[in-house]
Parts: sequence; structure tokens; C-alpha cells
Amino acid sequence: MSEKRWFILYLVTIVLLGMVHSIWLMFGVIVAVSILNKKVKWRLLKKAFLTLLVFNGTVTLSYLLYALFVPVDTSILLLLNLRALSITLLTFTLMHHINFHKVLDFSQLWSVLYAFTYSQMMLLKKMLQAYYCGLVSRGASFKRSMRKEQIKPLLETLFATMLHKSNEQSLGLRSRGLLDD
Amino acid sequence: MHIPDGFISPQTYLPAAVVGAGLLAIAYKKVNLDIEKIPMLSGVSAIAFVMMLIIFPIPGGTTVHLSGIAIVALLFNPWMAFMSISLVLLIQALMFGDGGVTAYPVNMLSLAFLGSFSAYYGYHLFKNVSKKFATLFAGWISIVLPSLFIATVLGVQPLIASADDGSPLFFPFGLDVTLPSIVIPHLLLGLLEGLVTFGVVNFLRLRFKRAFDE
Repeated sequence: MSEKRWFILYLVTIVLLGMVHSIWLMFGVIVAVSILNKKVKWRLLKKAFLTLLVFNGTVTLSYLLYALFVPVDTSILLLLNLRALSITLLTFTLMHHINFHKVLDFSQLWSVLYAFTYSQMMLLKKMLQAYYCGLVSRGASFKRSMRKEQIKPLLETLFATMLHKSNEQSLGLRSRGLLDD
Repeated sequence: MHIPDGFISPQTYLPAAVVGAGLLAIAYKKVNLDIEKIPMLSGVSAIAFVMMLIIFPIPGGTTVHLSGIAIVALLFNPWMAFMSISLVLLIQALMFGDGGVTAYPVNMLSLAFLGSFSAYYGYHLFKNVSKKFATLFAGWISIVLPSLFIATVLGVQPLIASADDGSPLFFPFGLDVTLPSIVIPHLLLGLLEGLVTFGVVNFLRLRFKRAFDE
């Protein structure tokens, strides 16, 4: 099945999950998707769980606190969290198995913009991680280095590198005839 | 400010998806993105992505973080900003689980659309008075208006999607909780966003003058 069809099937599934309010169905989806994930099941389950932990934890805790003062039905929390976990796990499973770039290949503008934006995001993330590691290895903290005279050259280097890499990429794509002028 | 999966009902996100798709189609027609501009646009969008990475959850059902949307809107134009931020939000939702896929249409309409257009027109409203103030205001409004929209969408969930006995099926808090707990922190965060927008826009325009003038 093509990437586009998998993506459409995924979209239909997550909409259906929003229309059924059964805890057992959500639980079943989590188990079924985990089984299908075979070797990567624990990694994807852990990733989905950690993604939701802080955020859903905050809402869950605040609702439980609210329930101390106002009589409310707290069973909704289980449905809310299981639904969030099943959809997030499905998302990570899909992204693990398909190449999302192919889903956008119906439009050259979207697919080029996606490729550039994604590569820039990853590049910037890695550069900042390397900068942070560099600070830590020198015994400095990220908080202490957030001064005007340090931020300016950092921002300049980051943006200049990103522009340079992007221009290189567009030249490479153009030379191979993949981009129209 | 991203809403995660499972908090928004299909009654909300399906119409929002239709509106969002329509707006993206308009953006696609309006944006004449020449190939020279794509590296710059993707670079500035990546800065917005990094600014959105540092998030703090708040009890009202969303997160507090800087957005960088005003930076993209002021350096390019609101339709380009809408397109690129929509793409950043999609990548965040699919690859990192930051903001739900089911909540994506609402996140797109609030952050990408309202954020970009409010920043752009907010700047143009005050630019003849003071460019400095106009840039600060653009950053502030690009955070505050989307937070108001998100608080409203979350707060109406118990009204539009509840069980027969009245218990909520999606986000459980009403407007009395979401409006103060989401909008008030963003009123303050907006000041920081305004300062960051002012600093980054001026810096990029000054240091990369050639890139943005071409």
C-alpha cells in the first residue's frame, strides 16, 4: 500500500477513535498496535508515554484537585488519557513505517518546503544540542551564557550556517533537475 | 500553546480541518514562493520551531512557550508565515507528538493563522506611530490572540461533547477555568515574545540585509 493510502487510513482511524467512547476499545488499540510494532514496540510505547506524561499529567492532576472541591466524574480521565495514548502511539507507528515526504509529493511546493523546513529544524536542533554540550564540557551553564554578547554571535552563526546549508541543498536539487526556476 | 490529542471533539476539529484546508488552498494560490526564498523561509521557520520547543504545561489544558510566529510574519508576509508555521506544527505533531494530530486544525488556525495575521496587521497598525512599539506589539498580539482562541475552543468542549448524564467526553474544564488559566499567563508571556521578536527581527534584517532585501 502506498504512503498516501496509509496516511488516509491513519486519519480515518484517529477520527473514529474520537467518536467511540470506550475505554476497552482504546486499550485494545494500544495492545494491537504494540503487537504490530514487533521489535520497536517498547521504544514507541515509551516515546508515546513520555510525550504525554507531562502534559496530560498536568491536566489529570488539576482535574483531580478540582474534584476535591466540586463533585465531578473522574472516570473521564482514564478515557481521555487512553485515547491520547492510542492516537499518539498510532502517529509514531505510522511515522516509523512510512516516508512522510511521499505523502506530500502531490505538490512540488509543499514537498520542497517540507524537505527544507524539516532538515533545517533537525540541523538547528543538533547545532543547539552541540552548543549546549560544549558549554557543559567547559563547566558553564546554558542559563549563565544567555547574555547579549554571547547570544548575538550564536544567532549569527546558527542562521548563517542554516542559510548556507539551505543554499547548498537548493543548488544540489536544481543541478539534478528536481527544482524548477 | 499546542493542544494535545484527545482533548478536542470531532465536532470541533472536523469543521476546523475544512476551514484550515480552505485557508491553506488560498495561501497556496497567493504565495508566489520563488526558489531563492525557500532557504530563508525554512531557516526562520526553524527558529520558530526551536522557540516552541521549550514548553511548560499549564492546568488550563495547554502549554506556555514562545512562538516566533511574529518573526516569520514580519520578515516575510502573513500568508507565507501561515504556510510555513502550519508545516512546522504538522512536523511537530507527527514527529515529536508536540500538539496532537486531531488538534492540528485548531492549532493551525490559532497559532499559524491568527498568530501570523495578528502580528502582521498589528505591526502595520502602529508602524507609523513607532516601529519599535509596532514590533513589540506584533510579538505580543501574536501570542495573546491565539491563546484566547485556544482557551475558547477548549472551554466549550464540555458544552458540545458530553455524555447523556452530562459528564464530559473530551476536555473536562469549562470557559470559567480555561479563559483565566490560559489567557493570563499568555498576556505576560506576550511581553517576552514582543522583546524577542524585536531583537531577532532587527538582528536578522541588519546582519542578513542582502538575504531579506532580495
